[in-house]
Amino acid sequence: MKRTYFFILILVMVSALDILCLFHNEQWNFLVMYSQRKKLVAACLLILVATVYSIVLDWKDGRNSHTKGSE
Amino acid sequence: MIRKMDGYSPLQIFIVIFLFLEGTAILINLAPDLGRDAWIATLFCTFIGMFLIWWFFFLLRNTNQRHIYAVLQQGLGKIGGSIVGVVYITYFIYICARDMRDFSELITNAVLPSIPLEWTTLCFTVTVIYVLRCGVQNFVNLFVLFGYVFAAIFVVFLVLVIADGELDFHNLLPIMGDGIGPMLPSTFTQVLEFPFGELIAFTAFAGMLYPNLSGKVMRASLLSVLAAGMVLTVTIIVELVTFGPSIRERAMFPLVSASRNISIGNFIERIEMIVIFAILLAAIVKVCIFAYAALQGVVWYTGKSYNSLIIPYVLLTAEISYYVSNNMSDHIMVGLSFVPIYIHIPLQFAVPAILLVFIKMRSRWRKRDDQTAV
Amino acid sequence: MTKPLYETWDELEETFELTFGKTTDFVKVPVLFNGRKCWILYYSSLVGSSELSSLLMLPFNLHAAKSENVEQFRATALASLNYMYINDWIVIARQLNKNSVCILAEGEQEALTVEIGGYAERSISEPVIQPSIYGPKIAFTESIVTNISILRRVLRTKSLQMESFDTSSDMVTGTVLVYLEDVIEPDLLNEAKRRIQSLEGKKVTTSTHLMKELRDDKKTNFFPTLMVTERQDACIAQLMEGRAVVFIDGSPSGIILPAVFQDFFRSSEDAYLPRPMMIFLRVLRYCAFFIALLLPGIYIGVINYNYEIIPINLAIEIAGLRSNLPFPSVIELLLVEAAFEIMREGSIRMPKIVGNALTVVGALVIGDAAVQAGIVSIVVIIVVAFTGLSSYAFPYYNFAFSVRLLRFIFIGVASMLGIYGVFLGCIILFAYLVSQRSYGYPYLQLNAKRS
Repeated sequence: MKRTYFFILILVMVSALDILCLFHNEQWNFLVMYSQRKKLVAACLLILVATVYSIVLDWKDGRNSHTKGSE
Repeated sequence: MIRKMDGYSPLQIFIVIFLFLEGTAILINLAPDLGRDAWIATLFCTFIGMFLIWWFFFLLRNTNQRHIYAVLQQGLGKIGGSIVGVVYITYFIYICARDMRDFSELITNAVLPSIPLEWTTLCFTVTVIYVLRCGVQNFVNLFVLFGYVFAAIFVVFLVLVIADGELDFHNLLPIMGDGIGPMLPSTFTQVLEFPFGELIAFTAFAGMLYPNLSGKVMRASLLSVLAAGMVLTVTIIVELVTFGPSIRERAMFPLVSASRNISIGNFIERIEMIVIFAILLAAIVKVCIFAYAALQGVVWYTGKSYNSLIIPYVLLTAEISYYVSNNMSDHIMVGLSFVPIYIHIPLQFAVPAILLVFIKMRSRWRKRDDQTAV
Repeated sequence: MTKPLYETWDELEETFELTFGKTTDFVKVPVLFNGRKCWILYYSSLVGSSELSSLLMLPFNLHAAKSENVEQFRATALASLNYMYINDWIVIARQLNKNSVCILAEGEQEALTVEIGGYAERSISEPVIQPSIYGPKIAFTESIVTNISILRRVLRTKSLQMESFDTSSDMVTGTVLVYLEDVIEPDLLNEAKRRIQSLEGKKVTTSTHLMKELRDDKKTNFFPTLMVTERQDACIAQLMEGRAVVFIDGSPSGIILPAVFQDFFRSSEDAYLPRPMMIFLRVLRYCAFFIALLLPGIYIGVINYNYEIIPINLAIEIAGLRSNLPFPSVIELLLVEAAFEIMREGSIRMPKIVGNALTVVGALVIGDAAVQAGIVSIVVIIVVAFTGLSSYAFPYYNFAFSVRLLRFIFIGVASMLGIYGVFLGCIILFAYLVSQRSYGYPYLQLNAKRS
């Protein structure tokens, strides 16, 4: 599951950096942006697809390493 | 005679660095508050930029490593190197998202106002994913093709601007009328970081393409930074000369506005589409290079294959590009005030400098240990 | 230990009818060879009667009575013919099917086959698909022997090598690989040989099938990676550059491998033109490529999203023409494109007599009538006609197919994203082209290294 964990780590860190930049500039106004529905739906869809893709690939890797018996 | 490809040539890195620097710098307003003297600042930073690329490659050559993540591990140890490496991956992805946002804003403002930003960004993302999937050998060749097209379009643009005749060189006078002093803070906090400081992205993979970073490659890179800086300077001069510093200060996309102005014989009217195509080529190069730099880091830290990692991270970049800011003016504000000072300077200059010091100290400790052991 | 051809002559006579004699063009002539029973076997459709009588029958009448065995007869009377001694019926059948006559004498354990040949062949004629204006008007024919001779009469060097492969087991279609030994890269040669050899037993009979098997990427690719030529000078130029040509029996064309993108824009006529003219024509062909690919897409993008690009007067004209139309512009374009494609397909198959009428009817019906009825606007007709004409500008006919297909993808993308979509589509197309390989050579030759 290395791939997915790393992805989530990077996701959290980049979002943190993003919010940090916005916070410095606009203070809490960035929450307004996060509540815009169209953007939120599109963003959630993208993250969902990316995460599911990572999970599926990790699962395939896990299955392959079991059948192959090696790492 | 047809040839196979064996190894990368210096011309390829020349073109890639050139397009990378043009990237979004040719698109947005560089140093708006410098007014008339923006071109001097750019020219000055070109030379500093040449030193920068030499320094970044020196870092790689000196430590005999392939890319910066390995250098970090060598300098700061495995844990420290990993932490700073992850910070760099984050940084690359964030800058990649900012560049994507820059370009998508251009498209939404100038080309396709009726189509939502999310959709144009998504199509751009699909293109970037496809280009990255082709593999580094292929996309470097692709960028060489882009380079030729970009050069051709730029030359045509210059010719048309001069033929148009509406150039007022008095807009440039007085040169450095306020003296050097007021120019300095802006130069060092804005123009140097963007675009020249972003060359740090090349440390993430240049060592893998050119194992020795030999003299020829070095020379090609320096020439490339010089050429790109010259082109940027000429672009800024053209913009200033076409509409003057006060209008340029307020323009969001000065090059596009300048090409809108060109009108020759009532026939060649709106050439901005061609200019936007050239900017698209350079923007794709920049986004792909940053994404590739980040992906190399992820490959290094997770050990998974490159092809399987492209889609999640590029989609992540697209998502972040939605949330980088609310609208274009906020985007520019954040990009000019917070990002350069707290993010670009530490990561582009401070960390490599500290790294170099650490590595030198470590090698000296090791030498001292060897001597005491003996 | 192989089985002997026959146990006794009488048993052979009984079983022979069952194995060979069914078809009416198989001829079995029982003769006397110095007192022994002897059969002469051949297919009458493959062996010409005048060749048979002059090359075999006449010497047979003169010398057969004096010879001790078949070998002596062959050495004295049939010395000028290619021969083989075979003791396996399958191989005999194969040789008979080529153009040989088999002499089977009682008491001999091996049969003698001599190549006589002489069936009716097409003589060397002018190239049809790639007509020649200044160059030699020699096109390849269906027989491999003639094709090799067409090449050897110009390339009179011993480094012109050919290697034969039998690419099917019972159907005996031959494939020949031709190359210049001192110019070709060894890797390319080995790879080509390996691929053809892997086809043995796969019943490859047509050149299209062979091309499909010899390709790099077995999935569908949009752009051809092998070139087909029927002209002598084109083939010779490619051979001298270090490529290999594959001929297959029964197909009047040579398959040149490898082939890259730039090759499809070169015509063999270019060598006979002065250099500035050649450069001009080549630039023109590249422009035609982009026009045929992108013009409908750009038209859709400009009309739907960015009409401010075209000069103001033209924009007003087009808007005026389009004001009363029933269909949206994409549907209109697709209708006219569909009609044009159908007309194009039809005009290929029509016999020459009706062909003219078809073009006139097509132009009238599709063009004028549709415009006057107010179904489509005349601008679309112009766009589609210009696109169609551009796609004929390629020297290599098959290349136009890929462009025709991709055009529709660009129309679809342009209808969603306008000009921006066309730009992105171009980038994806070039990324695709750059990553294609033809026998390991990059399809778009952009190698920045100069050797």
